[in-house]
Amino acid sequence: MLFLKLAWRNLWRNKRRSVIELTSIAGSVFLAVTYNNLVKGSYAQMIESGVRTQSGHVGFYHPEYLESRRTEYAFDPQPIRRQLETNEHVEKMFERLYAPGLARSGRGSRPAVLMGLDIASEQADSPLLQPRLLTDGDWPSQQPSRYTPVVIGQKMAEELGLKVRRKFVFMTQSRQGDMQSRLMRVTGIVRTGVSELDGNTIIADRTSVATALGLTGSVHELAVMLPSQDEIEDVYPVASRIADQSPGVQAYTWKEAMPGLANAVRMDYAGIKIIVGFIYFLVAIGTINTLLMSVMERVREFGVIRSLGLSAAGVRRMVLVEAFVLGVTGSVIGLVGAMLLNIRLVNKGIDIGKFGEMDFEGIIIEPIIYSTWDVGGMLTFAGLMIGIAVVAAIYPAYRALQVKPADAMRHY
Amino acid sequence: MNNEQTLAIKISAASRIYYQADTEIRAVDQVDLEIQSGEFVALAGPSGSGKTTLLNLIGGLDRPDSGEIHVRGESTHDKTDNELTDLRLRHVGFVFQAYNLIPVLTARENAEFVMLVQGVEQARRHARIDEIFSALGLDGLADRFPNQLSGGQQQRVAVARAVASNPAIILADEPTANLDSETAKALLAHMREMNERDGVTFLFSTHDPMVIDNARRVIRMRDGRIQSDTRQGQE
Repeated sequence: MLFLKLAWRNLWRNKRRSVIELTSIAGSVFLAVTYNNLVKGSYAQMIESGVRTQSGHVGFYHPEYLESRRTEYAFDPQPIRRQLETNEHVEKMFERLYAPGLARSGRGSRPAVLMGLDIASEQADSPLLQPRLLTDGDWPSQQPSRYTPVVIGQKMAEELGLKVRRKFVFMTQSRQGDMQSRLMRVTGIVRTGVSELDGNTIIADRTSVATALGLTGSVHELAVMLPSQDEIEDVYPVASRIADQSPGVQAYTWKEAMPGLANAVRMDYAGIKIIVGFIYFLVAIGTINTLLMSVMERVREFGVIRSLGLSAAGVRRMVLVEAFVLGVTGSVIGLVGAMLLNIRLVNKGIDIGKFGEMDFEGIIIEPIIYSTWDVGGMLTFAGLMIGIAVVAAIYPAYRALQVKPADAMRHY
Repeated sequence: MNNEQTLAIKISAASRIYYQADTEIRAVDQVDLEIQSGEFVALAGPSGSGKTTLLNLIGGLDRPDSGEIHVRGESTHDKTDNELTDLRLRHVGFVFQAYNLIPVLTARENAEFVMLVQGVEQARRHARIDEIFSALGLDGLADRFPNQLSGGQQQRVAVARAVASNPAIILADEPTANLDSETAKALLAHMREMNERDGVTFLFSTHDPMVIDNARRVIRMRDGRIQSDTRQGQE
């Protein structure tokens, strides 16, 4: 209690110096916490976008499919569906077909992926099927037709000179491995802002794709949607058990199904940690300077308290407690400031649309990114700063211990 | 009770030498001295005569280059810095010429600092400080910070700090040097009272004739050596 009282009052002996140091500590914690919450929020949005567009939180595939993307690696999803339908964590399940191939028009050709989706049922969840992305025409219907009705990306439409109602040929491998051509008619054009999707994607109704590929009753992907990522650890073991009982099927988490996205997020976050580490390092230097000045200004005082019987350990504790109080005060101020801003960022978000369209690992990024409450991260960044302040006090404490009481009172 | 048990301080051939450039300065030179418990001793002499250095050696704030010092029977010679600190905490109180109160602590907090370090519980600390403040005429000043006190008040707080933990020995370095004569006289009276009432051993350096007149024993120093050691018949 004595040391806390001394530390708090000593902190305000040189108000200007302490305010500068507290500002630097609080500013760093504020920056780190705000940035971390925002980045974690945007990662969650991106992952959710990726999960809903592609693999699901948990996805079922043929064990060879993710490696080779071969058309023949399809499976019957119904037995798995039936077993998962009663699982309390499972929100929705989407069946999908994919066929890589070549889109060809009178103007040219380009590689493309034909996606067979249950458009009506996925529209509420999939960022790719949002009506606002449709720049022309409409979503393809399930009506049987000579031409497979499809929506294509705007870039593909431009490069192949296609418009709504125009036809083109899509060449792909059938289930048996033969090359086959299929005539397709453009019913709509989408613009996602993701060049990979806008340039290569052909969206069609799953039933018509299944017919075209000879895969009726089979899918390449059964995407299982959960309320949040937190539930993956509850569902994945169940999904794995079901897959074990289903020959030719394997369950994957989104991280396994989309390793590119998982690695990109991990690397991006590592970069952020390095930046925060650098900022914290600078703060540590500032803290050493502040405490060292504070110690050197009080040499006589340290001599007096040693004379009065305070041990070396007591003096060391006194300086470390000062650093702790400095760190806690600055961190709390920074944390409170960051929390106040975060309330707004969680509710209103930040509009990054004005910075242009953004593309992250082929994922559709919403123009408004929302922050999140990463409580663990907030406590870690604040705690780390307190720890850094205390560690930064080790050298000033050592200098305080070098004070010989008689010399201190003779010379200072 | 034998002689060793009543000896508060025993110094045998202690020397402390400083070097300034190439010049050797014998601040304390082969000093032998014994002070009994309960004595009220003035260490007199001009500036640079070695008074403060001798007090520092006795209090373990400095170490002799040769000779030995015993405080309440404990040799300071082979003690580590921490052991010397502990010796001071248990047995020695200091009063400094420049008061040396901790500016961020109130008068009460300054006075109870040693007891806080000793781990004395709050109720006992407060009771003790109230008693001492009352005796030293510091009533009503407990919550003031040093910069809100006069020089005399600050020195009385410093004395309160030195005596609060009931040390056996109080070493005071020119305690009246910064005080006017009236305040100095009052402070001296308080110190005498504590000496007589509680048996605390007082050893103070001074060149103030009034302080010297009030001492029962006067040790005069010059050039680091004891020039004379006289007992004064008072009371």
